[in-house]
Amino acid sequence: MSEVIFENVEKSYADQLVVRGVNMTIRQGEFLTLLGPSGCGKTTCLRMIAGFVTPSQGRIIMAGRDITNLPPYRRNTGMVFQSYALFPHKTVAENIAFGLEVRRIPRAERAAKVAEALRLVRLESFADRYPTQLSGGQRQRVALARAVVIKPDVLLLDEPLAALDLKLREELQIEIRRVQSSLDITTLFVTHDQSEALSMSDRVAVMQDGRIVQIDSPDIVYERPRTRYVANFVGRTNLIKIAVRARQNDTYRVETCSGPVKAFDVIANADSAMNIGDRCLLGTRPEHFHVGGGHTNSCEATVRAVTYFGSIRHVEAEGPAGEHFTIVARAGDPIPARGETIVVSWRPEACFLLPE
Amino acid sequence: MILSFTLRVTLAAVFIFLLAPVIVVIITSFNGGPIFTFPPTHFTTRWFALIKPSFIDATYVSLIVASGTAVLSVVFGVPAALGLSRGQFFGRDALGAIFLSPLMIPALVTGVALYQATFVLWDMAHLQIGGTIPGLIIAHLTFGIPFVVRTVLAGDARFEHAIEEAALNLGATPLQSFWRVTAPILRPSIISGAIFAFVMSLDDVPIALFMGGGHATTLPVRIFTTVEFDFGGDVMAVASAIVGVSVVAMMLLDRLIGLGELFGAKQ
Amino acid sequence: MSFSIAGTKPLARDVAHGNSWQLLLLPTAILLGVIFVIPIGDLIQLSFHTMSGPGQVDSRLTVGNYQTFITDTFLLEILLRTCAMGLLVVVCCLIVGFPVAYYLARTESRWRGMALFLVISPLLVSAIVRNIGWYPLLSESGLVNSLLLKLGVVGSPLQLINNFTGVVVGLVHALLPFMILTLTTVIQRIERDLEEAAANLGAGPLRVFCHVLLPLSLPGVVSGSLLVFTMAISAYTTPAILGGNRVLVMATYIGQQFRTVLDYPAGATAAALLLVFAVLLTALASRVRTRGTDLA
Repeated sequence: MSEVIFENVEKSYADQLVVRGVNMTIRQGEFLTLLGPSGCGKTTCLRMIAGFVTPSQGRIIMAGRDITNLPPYRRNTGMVFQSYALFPHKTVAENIAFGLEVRRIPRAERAAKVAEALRLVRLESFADRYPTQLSGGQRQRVALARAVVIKPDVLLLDEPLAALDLKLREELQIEIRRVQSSLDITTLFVTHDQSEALSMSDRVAVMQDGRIVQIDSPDIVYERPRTRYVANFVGRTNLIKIAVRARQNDTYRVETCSGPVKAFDVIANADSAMNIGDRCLLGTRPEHFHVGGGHTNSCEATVRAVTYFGSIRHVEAEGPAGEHFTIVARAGDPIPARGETIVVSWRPEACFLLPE
Repeated sequence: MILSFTLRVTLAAVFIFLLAPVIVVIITSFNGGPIFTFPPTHFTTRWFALIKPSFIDATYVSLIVASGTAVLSVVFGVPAALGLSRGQFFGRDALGAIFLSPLMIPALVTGVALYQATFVLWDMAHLQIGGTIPGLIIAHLTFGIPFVVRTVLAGDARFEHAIEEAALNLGATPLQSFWRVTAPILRPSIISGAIFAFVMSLDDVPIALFMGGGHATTLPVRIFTTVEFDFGGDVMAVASAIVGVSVVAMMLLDRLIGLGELFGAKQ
Repeated sequence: MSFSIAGTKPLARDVAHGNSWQLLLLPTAILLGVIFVIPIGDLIQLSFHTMSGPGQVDSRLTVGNYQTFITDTFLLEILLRTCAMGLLVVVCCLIVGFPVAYYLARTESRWRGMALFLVISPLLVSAIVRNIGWYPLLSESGLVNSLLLKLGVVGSPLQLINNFTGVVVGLVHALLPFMILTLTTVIQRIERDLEEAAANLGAGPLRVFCHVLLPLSLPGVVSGSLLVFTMAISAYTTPAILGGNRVLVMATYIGQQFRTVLDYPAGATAAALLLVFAVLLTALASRVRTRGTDLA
């Protein structure tokens, strides 16, 4: 079982606490992404699994062993670096064979595994090239092959696609996912790019200032963020200040706090700990706001700008209490004009409650 | 354009100036008449036959000392360079400056300082370091080690350290990582440092003058002392031979390594 | 010629074995301490003694040697001669070297590599060889004199070697490549566009030189000059051979003290002074260079 467990892991440099009390379990075979801005501690966590950083407190357990103080070369992890870190003096095949050589795998078996790895990343004809002769995307695939050929317990990817352009990034995202799931390796992926995190992962762990603030599957992180930070990090949010008036299990009846009084129905998270009288925020994703009536919740808004993006339009509007709304209008939807007062409506299931 | 013509003339004059002594040495070594008269009126090859055996001995001494210097400079210089480049401790920059300082100090000063030290060692421990080949090698290490440290420092600064982490991650121990990854990548810097140390040792006069003597006399020092007292055509012949060997060595190096790499066209 | 490691960052990894890199320094540090630092220190302390008899060093400490240096006219002459030699060498190298450096920095012809090699080539042959090559050129029956006599420029042969002139010629020859390479780098850093802009605005070549090239290359020129000056005053072989043991500059004076006169403390004093000068000038040169690149 190559599970990775973080138990109360902390890391401080000098007096700065970079990772605070992180508890998480990366399940066997899952693709978990650590998502957050620079400096939030995500890379430090990854490097603690690799063994390049030792936790100041807490334990890390991998495949049942406590690896907290084990040196990197005894951990059987495979890491893909942001800069690829390919050995410039070795060919592609020699790069991939390195981990196998160190493990004293006999030559014939080594050659077979290297060939298999090259097939996996579709670089068979590049075996004898040197890294300087490869493009960025090709180097990344070699780095990936090199990391997986040793059959690591955990695959670690440290923002591997940050240096590539958009098209290449999207291609490699699919490639990485394909390789990972076909080999069923437990994987930790670190990135600051939310769309990357949402599209590739089984679960996303959002980090803020050294802590994990939410860890859920992508759809839940996106549709049911737990805090304002998570909501804003993984997408745009339309926020309305409200107070809770009534509650029955998951269904809430809320009222606006400022501006004209309006009441809404919200079907929130199972563990939304909001009580009657609590002031909080009602959040809705732009694509769940519809121009025109037709849904349970509605309010008025004044259109400030309409921006054309090709497949969609963004309608920026001002809500009744001065809130900034972004509405996604698709082809076929009514397109309002600037200055027009419109009705915006949404469904109770399509919004969420956030603490202030 | 007039300016362009002036520039061309200046360039030609400068290049002639730069090459003149070397060419003159070669021509004079065949001079049949008084060797300070130029151009020669008639030619001969007898000077080459008259080269004294002491020059041949001195050549051997020079080669042994230079080789020893190069090898030991690498043995001591590479770890020092790596320690400076990767270590993290108070006074790192100051220690680095001290390691490179011998290159700033006139060779003559180093030479007489070591000369004094040989007296002190003799007085204190009856240890004879002056006038010995090991003594010469030790003396040359004072600039050989800093040369190697400098080139390896520069090479390590260009080196992407994530590559070593990759090696560790793939299961190599620190020692294995050093042998299989770090050393091969640093090899060009190490070799160019070693070559610098070798050539500087071959060329040196002030330090070898004071540290050597008797059987431990290097070729440049032998020439130096001969020129002071007995400047004859045989010295010219020796010098001419040196030019010949240098040219051949340069061509060989260019074939093997590519001189452009070595000198980088910029200093 | 100094290389600072201040630009390198230490391997800031929290790897368990990371801090043992320091230990690698130990053997070399000890070796250099023993074979270099201690002897130099000993030499400096020798300068605070005097000779009490032939081969005997008096054990009392004194600053008398340094006082003598400031008061004795003979020694002051040596200091002055050393500085004059250095300055003369620098000026000649600048005048001769700048045009060559300009060519190397700006040209795009395929002869550039060849030219660069020619500039460096004297350095590839041992210094001592180059020095003795000056004898057939500069002696009374040498090439220069026979040309001057033939052309009727002079009536009798000039003394061009075994004297101060010979030393200067030899040093200029030895140090010109360094000056040229330094200046080439400096000029390369000045964008060609600036010269073209000046020309476009009406400046002739002289104006361009005075108002664009000179001011912008000044820090590099000063830094290079300081280095060449330091190398000139530190040189021993060339002044010894081409000066015929008669030209006394600091270096040859030191050599003389240790080889023939055997007044070790006097030699040590001069050596200590030369050491301090060389180090200060080199440090100054790199200060000027970094200050210059800040502005560039």
